[in-house]
Amino acid sequence: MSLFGASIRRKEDPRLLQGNGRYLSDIKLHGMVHAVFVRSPHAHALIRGIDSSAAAADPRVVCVLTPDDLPVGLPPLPCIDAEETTKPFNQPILATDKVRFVGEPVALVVVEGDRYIAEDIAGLVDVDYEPLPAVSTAEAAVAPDAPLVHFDSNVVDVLEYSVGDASSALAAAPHTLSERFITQRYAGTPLETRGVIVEWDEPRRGLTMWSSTQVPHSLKATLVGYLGLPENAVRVIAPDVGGAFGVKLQPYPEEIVLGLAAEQVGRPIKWVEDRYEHFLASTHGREQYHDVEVGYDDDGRILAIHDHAVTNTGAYLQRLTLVEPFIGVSMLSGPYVIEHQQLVSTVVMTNTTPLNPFRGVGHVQAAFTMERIVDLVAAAVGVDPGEVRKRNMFSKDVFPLHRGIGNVLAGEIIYDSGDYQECLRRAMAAAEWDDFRREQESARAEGRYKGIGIGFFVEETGLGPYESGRVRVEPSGQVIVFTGACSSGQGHDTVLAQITADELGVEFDDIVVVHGDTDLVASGVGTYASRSAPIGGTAVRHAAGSIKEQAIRIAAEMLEASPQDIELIGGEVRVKGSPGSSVSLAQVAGRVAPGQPLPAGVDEYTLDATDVYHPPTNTFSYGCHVATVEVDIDSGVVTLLRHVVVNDSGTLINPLLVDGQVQGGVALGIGGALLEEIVYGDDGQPLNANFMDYLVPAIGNMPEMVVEHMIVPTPLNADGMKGAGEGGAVGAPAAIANAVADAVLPFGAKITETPLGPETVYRALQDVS
Amino acid sequence: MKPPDFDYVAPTSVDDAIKALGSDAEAKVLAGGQSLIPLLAFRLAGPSLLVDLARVDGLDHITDEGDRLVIGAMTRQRRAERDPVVAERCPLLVESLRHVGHPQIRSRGTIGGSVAHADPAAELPAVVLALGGRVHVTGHSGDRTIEAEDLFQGFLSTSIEDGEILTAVEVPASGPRTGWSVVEIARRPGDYALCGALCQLQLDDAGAVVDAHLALIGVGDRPMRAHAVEAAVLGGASPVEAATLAPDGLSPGSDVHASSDYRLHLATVTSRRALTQALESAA
Repeated sequence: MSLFGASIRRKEDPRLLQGNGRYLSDIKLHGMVHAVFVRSPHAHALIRGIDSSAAAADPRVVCVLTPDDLPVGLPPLPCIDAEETTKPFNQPILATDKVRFVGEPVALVVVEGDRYIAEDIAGLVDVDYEPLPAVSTAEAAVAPDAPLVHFDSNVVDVLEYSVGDASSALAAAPHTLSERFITQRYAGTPLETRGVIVEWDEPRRGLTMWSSTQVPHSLKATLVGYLGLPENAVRVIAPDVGGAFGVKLQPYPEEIVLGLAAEQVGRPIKWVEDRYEHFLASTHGREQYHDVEVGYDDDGRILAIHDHAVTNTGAYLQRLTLVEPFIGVSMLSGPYVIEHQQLVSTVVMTNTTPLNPFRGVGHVQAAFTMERIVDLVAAAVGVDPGEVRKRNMFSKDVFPLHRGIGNVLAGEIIYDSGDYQECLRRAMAAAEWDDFRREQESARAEGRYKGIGIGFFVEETGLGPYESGRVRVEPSGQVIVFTGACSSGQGHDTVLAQITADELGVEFDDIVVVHGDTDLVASGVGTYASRSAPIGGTAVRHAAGSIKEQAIRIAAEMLEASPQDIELIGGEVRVKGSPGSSVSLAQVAGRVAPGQPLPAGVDEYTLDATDVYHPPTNTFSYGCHVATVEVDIDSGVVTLLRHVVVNDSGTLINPLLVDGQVQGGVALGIGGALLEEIVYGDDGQPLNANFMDYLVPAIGNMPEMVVEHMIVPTPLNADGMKGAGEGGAVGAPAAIANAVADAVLPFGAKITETPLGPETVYRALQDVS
Repeated sequence: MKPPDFDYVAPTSVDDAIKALGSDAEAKVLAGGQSLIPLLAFRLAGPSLLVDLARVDGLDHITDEGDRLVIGAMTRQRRAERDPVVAERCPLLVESLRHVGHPQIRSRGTIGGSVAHADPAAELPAVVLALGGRVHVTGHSGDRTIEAEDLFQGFLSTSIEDGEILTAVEVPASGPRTGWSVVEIARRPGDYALCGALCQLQLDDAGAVVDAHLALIGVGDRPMRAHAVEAAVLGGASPVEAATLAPDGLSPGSDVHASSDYRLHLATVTSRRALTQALESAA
């Protein structure tokens, strides 16, 4: 039986579960010194001067770097998806004349000893701040007299997209409704925070940087650029990474500053972000509200939509700042035929931590907004929410479906494959929709309020531009797979080995997967946007396919047969119809080992192939979540009862791992639906930057979960794979919010924001009574 | 998030602990560390000396004195939670302990440490207050007891003097026909409650309430005893009627988790539920 598609256990788990992982913090180098960053305590302030003399005088100090110590003319942090209209509000590597959010790095202190001493000494760096008025919300930032975070205006950009003629269609629609939907700001909170070790390598005249990152190759390119070093002088290693979720998908100022300090210090420097720093200085996600007007007919068909989204993107552009505002509106209509759409997305700066893509970027807000709208329309026309969805959904024969919207980075949105109506039907069946309605009715008679809600989403996954895959067969029979997609815990080693084993018929245990080291993997993009399986996996599939062709050519000479008569089956290369006449893949690799003449027609002393796969367009996964809840009407407390997901991410390499991705995503979605929110005061001070007050979901918050898969393969890659890493997070808040709204429907309470903490639900109930 | 420099001693007797405390005006007692250590990590507290009571003899005990239950200050919360004597003599304490953090926290946290820390949202100070208990303290000038109603002075503040150590917590044993309940509204299981009500009621043979104790947490700068509600219940009011008095005299603060108004509302909701459940369990 092929391993491809099998729910086998993860290759990496015995090592990780026995405590033998090697995370950044586990790495200790000889002579290592410890760094800490001096960070702004102010949301907005001028820097009048920095006096580091007291710190520098301490004998334990190795170096203090202030903005004045950085090379002159150092470019600010790049934003690679900026449009021509985007204002250049980029982040300096260390704050120079002004700080713009609490936690912005101002100086670096490196000491002998440990982090404790580093923190003591950082307290001696005297930064003379002149506080300025600050803004923390998008609404405050666009007010007429708002303090300016940069210059000119706090509006960085306004993105506009249009399909059909929404204004006319809205004017002509039999009914319209308008509402504001608010999604809050999340922190990423991977179990492992960011962390960096940098070591100057004098013989190489360069450096090695270990970093807990999703993008080692992009970090290498960044260091090469900022340090002015040749490419071969910089090596970046991502060791085991304990979660990332997007907050490790860009090179950060800390990495650049540590890179700049490496030669001067001359000893390995370690910096590990603590949890407080993580809340302040790792990018946030989501904060976006949508002002929507929708037109619909008596049957609940949605005819037109006008959406104005506003994203509070924080104090600076980051690497991919525009993804959140772009996806938030461009994916709004999801699975629904809405002929007329006018979409405006305003991006606003405030004195808060910058935003960058985070698991489910933009899609979470789009699905929450759209799915709440559909339920409001359903309630208005008195038709069941499932039926209204069915009436509005695309049929399964529309693919490929051009949506007429696109941007520089992602290209045009073209839905590739799917069967949305079947997904909806299956999810409602798995949730026992009709039975629950009866249960709901009898509960209401006892004064208990239960609700059921759907969260359908379509999600852009498998983003390019490319990923690399390389397969090498050793004469020992060991197969080494190199991938540019590095793991932050997803199971790359397992699924890439499954693909390789499937293509070559070799033993799973004979396959080693290598990633996260720029010296070992020549090129790569990294792990984000649910891309490693569809893009990285396809590259490995192609590379393994080349190995197969090479092996057949080499074996043809060994077996004295014509290549077209040879096949590779179960790790054996053999003459078709003559099973006795075969050689193993290991023998084939041995035949091209150096020290002997090569077979005719073969010109390389290695059995090795590389593929760099550029996907033609992106893949679009989708899924349907159905949540059931009970709401305590007196207190507003929401209790989750059951959560059903039917998910289509195309062909599954390993259903067990996809189940895990969906379940983990749902947990994050539950956090967003009920608990998680970064809160700032009006003065830009963070109010809950710790795990006691920033509430991630715990096991006690988890309901019974049912995950089923639909498999509609994409035609865009060899195996039909679509991305699977984020959909769990995307559909859950919409489904839970709809379930809460359904529970409180008898009271007419409006549910328009997340998180639905008890007071938020209580207030919604009070507002109507 | 690394504590500043401090010295550490782990005396083995109460006398030595008091001496150590007296040796340094900036000394702090470490009694389990479930609150103090995070405060140190955030550098919100910076004592120059920590006096760890973990090895002090005689502070880890559960003593049944008939009409009273005395628990040594360094008794781990998890031990008290699972102790049959506590279950029999003070079931409200057991029920309250189940709401304290998580088992890991309760395995480290101590009864005396929590009471002395006096967090207004913590359960254990509220149990002692609700039941009219008291604490035993020892210092240079000798031993004394402080009644619970005099103990809690404000946010994280008690009438225990500098240089004194809380050695034991004492609560009255519950009588016959006693019911109890702890009702909390929290964002997650194990979190500090937005508001909670801890209640113990005793009935006479006719089923009338003859003894009523109700304390509220999360609604002020210290645990609050709901005297008006207790009086109403003793006067025959139903839980629904009595609970409407719960917000009387309270002025809770607002924070990221709940506003003052909402906490006042929850005072009524949790009081009503706690009274109802306590009555049911007494009957």
